[in-house]
Amino acid sequence: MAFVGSLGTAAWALSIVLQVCLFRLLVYRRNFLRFPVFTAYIVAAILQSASFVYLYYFSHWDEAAMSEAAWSVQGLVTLMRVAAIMELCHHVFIRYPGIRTMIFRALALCVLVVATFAFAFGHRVLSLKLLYADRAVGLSLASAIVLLFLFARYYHVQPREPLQSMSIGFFLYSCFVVLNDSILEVFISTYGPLWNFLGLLSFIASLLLWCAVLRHGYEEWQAPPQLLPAAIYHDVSSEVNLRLKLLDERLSRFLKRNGT
Amino acid sequence: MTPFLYVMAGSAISLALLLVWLLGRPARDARKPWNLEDNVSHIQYFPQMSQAVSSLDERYLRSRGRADLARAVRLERRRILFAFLAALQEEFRRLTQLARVIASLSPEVAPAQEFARFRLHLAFLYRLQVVRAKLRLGAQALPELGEVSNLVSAVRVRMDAAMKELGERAALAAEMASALDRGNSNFG
Repeated sequence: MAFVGSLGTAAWALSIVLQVCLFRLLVYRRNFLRFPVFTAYIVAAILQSASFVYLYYFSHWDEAAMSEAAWSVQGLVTLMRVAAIMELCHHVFIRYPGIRTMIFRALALCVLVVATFAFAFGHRVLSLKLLYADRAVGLSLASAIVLLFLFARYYHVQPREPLQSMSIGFFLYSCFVVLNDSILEVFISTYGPLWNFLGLLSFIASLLLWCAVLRHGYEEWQAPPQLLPAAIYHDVSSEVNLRLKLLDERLSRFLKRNGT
Repeated sequence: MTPFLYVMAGSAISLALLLVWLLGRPARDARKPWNLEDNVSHIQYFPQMSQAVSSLDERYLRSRGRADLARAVRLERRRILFAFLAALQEEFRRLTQLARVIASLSPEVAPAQEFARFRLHLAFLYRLQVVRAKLRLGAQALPELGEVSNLVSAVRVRMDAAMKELGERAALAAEMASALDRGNSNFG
């Protein structure tokens, strides 16, 4: 896999260039004002790349120390990624404060449950715990983004650009992390260099998508819509639920009577 | 290869497919646009539906030796009955859709109620399909159809009242805002 080494270096260089370009676009188009957390995430990714350059080319640490440092930095960047995705969710439902609170809770619960599920399973090899954690975060974030779009469809909320493309970028990267880490777990001795290279490629794809969508400036969103008095929701919602429940019970009774 | 690799890969691929479906444009709705002020409800056709599922006419035709005609009438009435059920379902879908829109425009929502409505709506759709299947098999579901119709009617009446209340409150809010603006300009 010698070719992976040189290609990997080229991909690494390309990803750094794209990160810098994206940061420049965020500043130049003033999108950093609207997406401060996403901008912070890109800055963190740039700093991560810089720290890797230092670690691998200028430091004289042993391999274990370098690996620990690299995973620690990766952990911080992953936390920034979680925050950036939460920022996107906030923007998608910014005009709907009532359902936004509920959806935030549902997404948080989804992230916790999926991450626990993904982390709890596996070969339980102690040295792979970081890999499990990385994969668990990837799967939970991918699930959270899908759940976000499910809620948006259910409540007839259309995620506007650039929010949709930015979310897709995060989804593609998170999904690929899950696949890549799972394959690495099985073929840990031979897949290592390719794992790194493919991970970089998926990140480059997400960076290209973000660059493409953020090359435009976006107008400020309109003011929130006029909200209804809370009493209307409580009246209507409880009434509809009651009727649905009654309907369900009567249909159920009918089916039992007919021997189903 | 481990089973867990398959689970993980399957989860990732399923999520990707689900996202593709979610991002796809919803099928063009060829149905007639819904007007809130349109008070026509399918409940008004219930007497005709009662006639459609009655077996008296069919028995009469058979007794007169017109079995072929009786069969044709039964098939035609069955078709009409299914169309009625589809219309009831559509009416209910629109009402619950309205409830979702009201939820999205409310300053606060009750997650338990939202979840309960979602779950009950799914249950309703499932049972409606079972009722359809039973009708296909020849069951007479007239009393239950009456209950279904009454329920849809009651929901509709309540939603209409809510929309009326909403309109009145919106008018009142606009009036108050206008009055406040006038007050501000007076003090400005």
